[in-house]
Amino acid sequence: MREQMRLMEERHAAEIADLRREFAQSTEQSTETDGSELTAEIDDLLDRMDDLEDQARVTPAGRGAFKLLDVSLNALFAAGGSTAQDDEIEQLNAGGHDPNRRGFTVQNVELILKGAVDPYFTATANIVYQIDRDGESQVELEEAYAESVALPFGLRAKVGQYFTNFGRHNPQHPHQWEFVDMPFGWTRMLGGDGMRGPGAQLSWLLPTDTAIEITGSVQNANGETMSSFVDPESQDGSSQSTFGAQREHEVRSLDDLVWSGRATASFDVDDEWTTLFGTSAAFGPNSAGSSARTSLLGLDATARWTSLEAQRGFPFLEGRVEYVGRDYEFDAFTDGSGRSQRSDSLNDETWYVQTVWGFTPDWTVAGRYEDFLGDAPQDTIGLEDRTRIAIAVTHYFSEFSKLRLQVSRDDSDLTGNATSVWLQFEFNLGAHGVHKF
Amino acid sequence: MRVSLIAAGALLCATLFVATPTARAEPTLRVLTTSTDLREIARAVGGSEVTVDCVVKGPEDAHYIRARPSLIRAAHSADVLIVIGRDLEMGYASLLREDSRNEKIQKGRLGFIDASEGIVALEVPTGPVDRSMGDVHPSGNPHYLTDPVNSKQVARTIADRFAKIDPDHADGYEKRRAAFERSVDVAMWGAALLAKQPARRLEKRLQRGQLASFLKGRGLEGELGGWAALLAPYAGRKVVSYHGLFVYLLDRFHLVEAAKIEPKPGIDPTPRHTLAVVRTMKSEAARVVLYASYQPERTAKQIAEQGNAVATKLAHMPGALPGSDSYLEAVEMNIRRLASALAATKEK
Repeated sequence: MREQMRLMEERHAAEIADLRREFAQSTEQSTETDGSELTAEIDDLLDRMDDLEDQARVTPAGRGAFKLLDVSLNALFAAGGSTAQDDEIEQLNAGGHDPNRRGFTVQNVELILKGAVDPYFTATANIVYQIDRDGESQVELEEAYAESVALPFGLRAKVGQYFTNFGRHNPQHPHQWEFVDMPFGWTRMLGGDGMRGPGAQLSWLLPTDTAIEITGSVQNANGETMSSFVDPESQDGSSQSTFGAQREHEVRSLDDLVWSGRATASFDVDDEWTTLFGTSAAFGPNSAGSSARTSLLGLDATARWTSLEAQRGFPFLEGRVEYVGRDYEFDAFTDGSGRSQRSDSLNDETWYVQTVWGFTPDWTVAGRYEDFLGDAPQDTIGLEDRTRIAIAVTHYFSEFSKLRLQVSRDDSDLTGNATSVWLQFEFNLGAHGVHKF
Repeated sequence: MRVSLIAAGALLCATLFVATPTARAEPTLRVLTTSTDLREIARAVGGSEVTVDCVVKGPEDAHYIRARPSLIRAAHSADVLIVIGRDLEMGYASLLREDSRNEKIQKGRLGFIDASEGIVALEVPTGPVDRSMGDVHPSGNPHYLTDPVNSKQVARTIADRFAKIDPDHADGYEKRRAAFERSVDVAMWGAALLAKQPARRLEKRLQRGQLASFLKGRGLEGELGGWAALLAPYAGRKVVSYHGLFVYLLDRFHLVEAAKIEPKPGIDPTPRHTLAVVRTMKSEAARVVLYASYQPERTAKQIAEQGNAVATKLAHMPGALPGSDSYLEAVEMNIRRLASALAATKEK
């Protein structure tokens, strides 16, 4: 590259020297020619100098740099306190990236690698670093997947370890959240780290004028990130989201995997309003019985308004409501309080509604109401009826850093009321993120 | 499992019921652009051979578009995606391309056009850049289409590519490109002067502030018409703008941007920086403040007042303001507004 530039410069220098010589000659000849010829000659020289100048100044778009990877590091820290004790906070904020104690929490430090693999695939990896309550560092492979670029018929394949495309909240990473913590109903139904696992997915963008997409996916049913399915943690009682006597589970047929699907349709109401409606479902085995199964059904609706004259995306208003219902079969067992439960199924539900208002550039205020309608005996920690209301104010210093203050009020049948105040700081180092809807 | 299959089937049926496939006539190229000026130029060059959609509306800030599903859907069925480039679409172009599942518009394919190819970029940083400098564009200021001269280069890039993708209509693309170029030249200089001097030579003299002496030396002062006649008298005057949206327009007419209201690209003005801007306006006699529809009018007007200047709203792209729907209308509006602001502040 440098060599080419040097050669180009040499060539330009030589051409300019030539032009100077011609210019000198033409002024010498000026006594012999009339004015108009001289002007024409000068104009011609001017044109050639203009051309040379432009040639030297044109900077090629995306000059031949080899761009292998977009690397970024996203870090979220929280500080705050709650009227609840530390061990209760852990139950109230059961999300893997929620602030989980009085004082400081390292919520999530995420290394994101993205790039084109070849002309056929792009790939993304999210590696998460965390420091747990005991000060121990933990590393976790959150996602690592490849996606096809150009399958025909509007199809797109995804292979690897990834968040299940179930609803709006589940596939989001913590830095995309509008609140400091995740909806607690989601920690119960889809797990504190979000529902994810190794698998394969195919999605189809329909050939319709309306943007309609259908996704189907199959993933392993086991692991701590498959909370409503075969979760090993449920066997030692540390999981909040399961019920019943847990047993080992082997994969014997395709039925022993988790099958999920999602359909979305999006409409632009006008130039400023966009809506998105989605239905999701997931089916798979759970470990509460020899042939017990779980079905999850999700519904969601999002509407977003952005002013046509928005500055840096503000003002905007976004409302979202999301629901998950669960049917969780279990075999007969004797629970912790010595009661014997008959073989049955748990039908619990959760939903939240949230609104985010970007009222002026770089400032948002958000409100959220969450509800969980339990079906287990009400003294089962983690499955009791509970509501929470939260308000968060966020200031974005730029697209790459933000400060958020959140106040939330919990009302649980088991742990009672608790008020928590959290301050969250985020920074993002590296590649520019994308503005997803 | 049976329950799951029934549910999945019901879901699919419900979706298919909502979906109503539409038959399309195939002979035209479907083009998607990321700015309204590109849309207008693509339409001018493509004529009836193309249908052109645009991901933004005129008043919008093209830096901060969200890749909503309808845009991804539009990218999916596009034969050609034309972007401004120079990192303007950094926040969504990659998503638009990748999520589109459309091989034709991927980088390096014929259907992907970076319109900044061949443009002489301004404000290209000379040293290393990082985010402490705000939202800098490492490959130069991307708002090059505010200078009408650059639109001719863009039309050439687009016409050449259309001809490669659709060789059957190559002649038509070239003919319409030439007509577009001619309309820009005539609007810029007037037909009389163009008959005597090539546009390119005039453009350069104008940019260097040598137009008056050049025309005088050739006895052509009386022939100057068009936009150049409106703005040429103010060559050398200084103005202030909110963001670097109009740098190329100013540079073409040998006007100087003395300061920006934003301390760094994409960073809101601070009181200290505003004070410095006002001081610069006074010391350098910069008496016009330029801003766009999505930038805070109140700030622009306050600073104009403090600096004894006039605040002027310009169309950052076609459709940004009423009456600026086509590319030539938008440029004409900007030049007329700029000229009258410069005229109004001449005697102060």
